[in-house]
Amino acid sequence: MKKSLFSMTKMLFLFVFIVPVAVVSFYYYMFASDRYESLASVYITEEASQSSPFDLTLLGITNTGSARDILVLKSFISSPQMLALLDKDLNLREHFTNSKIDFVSKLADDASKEEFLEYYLTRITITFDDEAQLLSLSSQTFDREFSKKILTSILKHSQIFIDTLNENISSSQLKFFEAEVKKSEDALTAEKNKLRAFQNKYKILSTSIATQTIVTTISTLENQLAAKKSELTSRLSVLSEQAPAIRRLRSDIAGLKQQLTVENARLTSGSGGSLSELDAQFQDIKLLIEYKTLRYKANLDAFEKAKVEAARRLRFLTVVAPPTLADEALYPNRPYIIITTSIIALFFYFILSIMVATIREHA
Amino acid sequence: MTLARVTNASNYGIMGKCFSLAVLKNHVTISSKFKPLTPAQELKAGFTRFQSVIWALYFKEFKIRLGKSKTGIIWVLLEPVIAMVVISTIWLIIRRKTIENVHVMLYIGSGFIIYLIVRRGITPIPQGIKSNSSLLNYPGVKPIDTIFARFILEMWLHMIASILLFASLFWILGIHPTFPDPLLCFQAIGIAAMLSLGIGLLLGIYGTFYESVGKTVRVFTQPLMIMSGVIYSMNDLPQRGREALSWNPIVHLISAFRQGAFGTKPFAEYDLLYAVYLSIFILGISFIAYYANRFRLIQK
Repeated sequence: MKKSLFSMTKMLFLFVFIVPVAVVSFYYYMFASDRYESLASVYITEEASQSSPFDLTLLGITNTGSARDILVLKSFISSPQMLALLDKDLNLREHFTNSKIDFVSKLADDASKEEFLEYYLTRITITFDDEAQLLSLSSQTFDREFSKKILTSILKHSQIFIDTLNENISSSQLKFFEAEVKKSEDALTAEKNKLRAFQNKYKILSTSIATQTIVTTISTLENQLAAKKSELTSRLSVLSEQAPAIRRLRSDIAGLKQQLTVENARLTSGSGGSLSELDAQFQDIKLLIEYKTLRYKANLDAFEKAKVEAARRLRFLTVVAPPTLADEALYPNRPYIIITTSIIALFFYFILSIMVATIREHA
Repeated sequence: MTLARVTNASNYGIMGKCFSLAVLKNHVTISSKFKPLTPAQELKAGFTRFQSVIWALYFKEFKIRLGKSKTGIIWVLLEPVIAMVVISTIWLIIRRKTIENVHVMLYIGSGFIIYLIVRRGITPIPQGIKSNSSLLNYPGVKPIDTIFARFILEMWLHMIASILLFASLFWILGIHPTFPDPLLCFQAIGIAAMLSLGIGLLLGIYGTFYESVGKTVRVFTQPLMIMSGVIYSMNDLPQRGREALSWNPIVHLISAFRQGAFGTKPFAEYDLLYAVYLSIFILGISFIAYYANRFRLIQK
């Protein structure tokens, strides 16, 4: 009985401890393919600084803008889309289904897309460091060059992804202001064309200058008229009405008077072509131009501001550590796995054997 | 084995009947001890006895629980519900209706379901040895049986309490978990139960030897609820806090349970395997401790 008791414990030890540990060690030392790890880390910078005065993270009010962006990037990297891109670039599936890889760690030849994605996610680790706002990437494949290539490709596609995000933001914001500026510019040009047409039609550069000229002419004529009239009065006291000098003076005065009425008529008259009326039209046009210039200026200002704002909201993917090239295969970590397995198996054995012993004690 | 003891035991109703049965069987084996048993026979006989002792103790414990005070059992059944309501009210006062898109009541309640499993390994389970110490005089009763019996009783009561919690939430508020991954929930509950048994046995053994062990542990585990992610989401904590708390296996179990029940995202450091390893480790340690001290425990 003593012997059989001993052998029962031994059997338990054999099947619960020795066999599993032996199988695991055998597999890991004889079959398991080496995996090479490549590491990289990136972070996303944003021009605008967003600092909140209180740290309310404990109450669930969390995450600044760039943390959100980096989490978006994280989910993009672990998405089927990224896998498809990588597969197109590097023929990922072929690498993972390579027959040289041991049967446990290789991807099945007829793996579905979902299985492939799951497998891909076990080979890629993405960890987000809260404090440094850093995204650490690591890839493990069966070839040291390939690990690096995967990470390089991931970073390339991430860059493209961030650029697309930027483009979407800036284009949607700037498009509106750009259209506004164009509209007001067109309106201003149309108004200026109207002014030019007006000037061409009436052969006038500016109504105010024309008015000035006429007023000067009238005053000169008035002066001359006054001079001629005083000369006539003084001559009449010496000469008779029929004297040739008097006659000449009278015809001069008549000429000046006629010219004065003509000039006055040019300045103001109800017949439409007068300068005052042109002036009114001219002032209207000028006012509109002024108004449209102001609008154009305001729109241009807003556009510039939006441009700056968009630039401030631009995100940049900054590579902190470029993908590394593994020197030796760190994975699978054989001693670690075997020690862990041994400890777990040993404790499992303890539990089982003591359970058996306890049960037997009841007998 | 005196018959007087057997008749004494039968005065205790159901418990007594089952118990006397177990003891009588023991009597039979002792009388047939002349013929050595093969290990297989021994194991079979031992298992039958083991089972009947555990059930006898289980019914005794249950009767005591029921008989001592009716409020006691109501309190046990309502503990998760009351804890959930109190904590959720605090959240609702600061106007947080959902955590990770799950109703606060459900979220907190699910945390308590796992937390209380482990918590029971600290308070009622270890005291099993002491409260049944008079029964340890019977050779058929081993100290570990008392722990097992109490463990089964506590888990059973807790299961009813948990069902009550979900049922009351569904009845009153009309909310219920969606259970996208029910297997994960059962895994979490199973691991938590294993952890609870390990802790219960370990504390039971050393609590019996040293009075201060149980008290010290109870004092030091007062803040356990806050440190287990029961009343908040681990995802809301800063990284340093999460890293520190992820040493606590309950955090992983609760996260796993919530993932299975609501489909919420587990926190970054989540690793259910850690909780599994730790539970096996603690259970193994407690078994070793039991095996080494099993005779001293009876003498106590």
